Amino acid sequence: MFDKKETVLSVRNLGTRFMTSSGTVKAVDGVSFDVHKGEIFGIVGESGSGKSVTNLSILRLIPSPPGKIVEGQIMLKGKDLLEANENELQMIRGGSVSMIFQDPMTSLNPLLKVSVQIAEVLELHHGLSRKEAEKKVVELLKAVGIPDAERRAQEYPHQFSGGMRQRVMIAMAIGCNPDVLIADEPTTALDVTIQAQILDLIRRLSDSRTMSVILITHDLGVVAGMCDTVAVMYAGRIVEQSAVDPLFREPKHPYTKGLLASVPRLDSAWNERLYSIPGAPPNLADLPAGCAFAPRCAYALPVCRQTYPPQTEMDDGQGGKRLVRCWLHTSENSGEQA
Amino acid sequence: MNSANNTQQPLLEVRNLKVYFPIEKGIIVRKRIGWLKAVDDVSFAVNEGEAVGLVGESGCGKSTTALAIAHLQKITDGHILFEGRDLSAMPAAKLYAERRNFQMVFQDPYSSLDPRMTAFDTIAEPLRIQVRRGTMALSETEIRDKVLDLMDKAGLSRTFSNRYPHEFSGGQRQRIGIARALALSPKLVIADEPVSALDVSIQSQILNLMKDLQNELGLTYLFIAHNLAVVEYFCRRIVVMYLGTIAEIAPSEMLYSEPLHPYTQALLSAVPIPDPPRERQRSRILLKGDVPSPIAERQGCPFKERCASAMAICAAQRPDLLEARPGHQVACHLYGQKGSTDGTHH
Repeated sequence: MFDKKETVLSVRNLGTRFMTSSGTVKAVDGVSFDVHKGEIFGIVGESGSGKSVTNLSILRLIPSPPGKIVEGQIMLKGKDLLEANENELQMIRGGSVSMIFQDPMTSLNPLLKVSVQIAEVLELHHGLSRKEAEKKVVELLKAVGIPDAERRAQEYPHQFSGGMRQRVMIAMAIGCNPDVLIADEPTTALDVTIQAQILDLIRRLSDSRTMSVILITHDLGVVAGMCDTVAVMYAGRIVEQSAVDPLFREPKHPYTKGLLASVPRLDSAWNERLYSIPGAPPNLADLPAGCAFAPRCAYALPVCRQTYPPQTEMDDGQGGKRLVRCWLHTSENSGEQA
Repeated sequence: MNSANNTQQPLLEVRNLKVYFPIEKGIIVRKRIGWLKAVDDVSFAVNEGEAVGLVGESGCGKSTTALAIAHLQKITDGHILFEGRDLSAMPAAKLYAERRNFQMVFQDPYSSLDPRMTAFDTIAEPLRIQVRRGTMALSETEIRDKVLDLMDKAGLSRTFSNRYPHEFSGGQRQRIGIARALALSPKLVIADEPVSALDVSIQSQILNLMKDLQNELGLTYLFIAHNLAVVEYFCRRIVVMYLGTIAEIAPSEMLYSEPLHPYTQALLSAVPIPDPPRERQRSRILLKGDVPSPIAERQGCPFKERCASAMAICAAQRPDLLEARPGHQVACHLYGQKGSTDGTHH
């Protein structure tokens, strides 16, 4: 779908491990994806699926030790971030790639006025003086829909509500016109009416600035409303990746299928029994051989328990391609499935 | 309350419940400078065998209402009636015996279990307390049989009975919490956000379990949640709260297909649906601003500042919760309140 567009960020075969007392945890394993200009790219998965670690790896924010990026490439406009030195990384973080987190309260310094915190980013990256920067801060706060921006800029984080704090974080993140905004569960801590406001804001900013967004979430509804492309992660790997419409219309991977069927929906009939995936996600320090989902999968074949499935490329029916990692969909086995 | 059930006595009735928290100032001499009205005049009923949902955003008073019903929170004013008996006027000893009829399941399966008690002891604790108080006569063997039976019912393998909470996953811990709540064979289970801390694939396991238990044991649920899709799925009737008051009460299908209160309409339109083409077509009602502070002294409708259909009367007079059609109550001046100047503005 976005093949014609310019690729801004390209992650290839990323592997991140954590060395713990109970063994090596393969938090991210062989993850590859491309983010195109102006695209909203969703990463969806449950806790421990590796979605946050993937994005912390992009900005090299994995604490080491115990964490380590063991393999892969992260190409940002032709430059490999895994080879960048600390100075270069400092300019990229908050500059061409910026990030917002789930809990805006813990991401802001409670002792500093909001204007000072946002201005800092501009001083650091654009070399503006404090005065110039503070003028720009008011513009940014207006751009993210904070009313009475001149006055509010002089307030402290605790004087803002949860939704307003997230707006402050977004103002800080877009201050340097980033190419990519990484939003890690940006609305999980917010109420649903405030979530709608923040998602609407992120979408408008992405459109008006042709800014790419990586949206990490566990909420499939948010993905459906926001994203152009989505990657589903399970146990550290991307199991399925596609444009949103085909993925929701016809999920290919049994995990995606199960996930979609197990969400109660507002538009579903009452008293319909929910589908539920049996069992629980695996321990990442002790992954089973073969496909990590096989122990919970209703369609598992003998081969699933032995060898990890290769990636299968399929046509998505709207001119793009979708990627699935499942033995049911490899060329040898796809005929067997009814 | 509910016209369809006029003849039947509700299992639980909440009448004009008020829970206020004092706001104090001063270090040595504490002076009360105001009230935080967490729950402000709330009335509703739950019939036997029903699952009633209590929804609203953070700070709307839904959890405080639940705690007040379970008598884990002191109430400021009002009455809580269980099978017609007024619990709020009951002496402590009598209330103790009454408590086994209503039990709670909590949100966080991590902090609501004692890390130093095994699954078996956790589930057995309510039984042992009742035995110690002399309100139940059970031998240790009988307790053992009962606990193992509860573990079966909650979908926990009996071999787990000597494990500690940290050895369980989030979903399994919530099963322990459910088994503990069922130990005294309660009539009413108050579940405060029982699935919101769980992953999607685990959430549906727990919801299915709670539904199966309802069918099997004839349980009545008061189900508190902020996720409207979950409540709509789980409950027959839904109570929508806003800023300590009830905005609307309706059967879930009716609430979903024809919400009356402007707040409910906005709330429903904000819930994302996992269906991209539908999601793109939906028009969203984006509410202005945030929920106002519950500390401020308020007049009129609690929703008036954020409401697109607000009229002059909304600022002056708080709307009563009235029946707009059979079984569907709403507190809004748009729907023919007594003394309101009939909705000419919309």
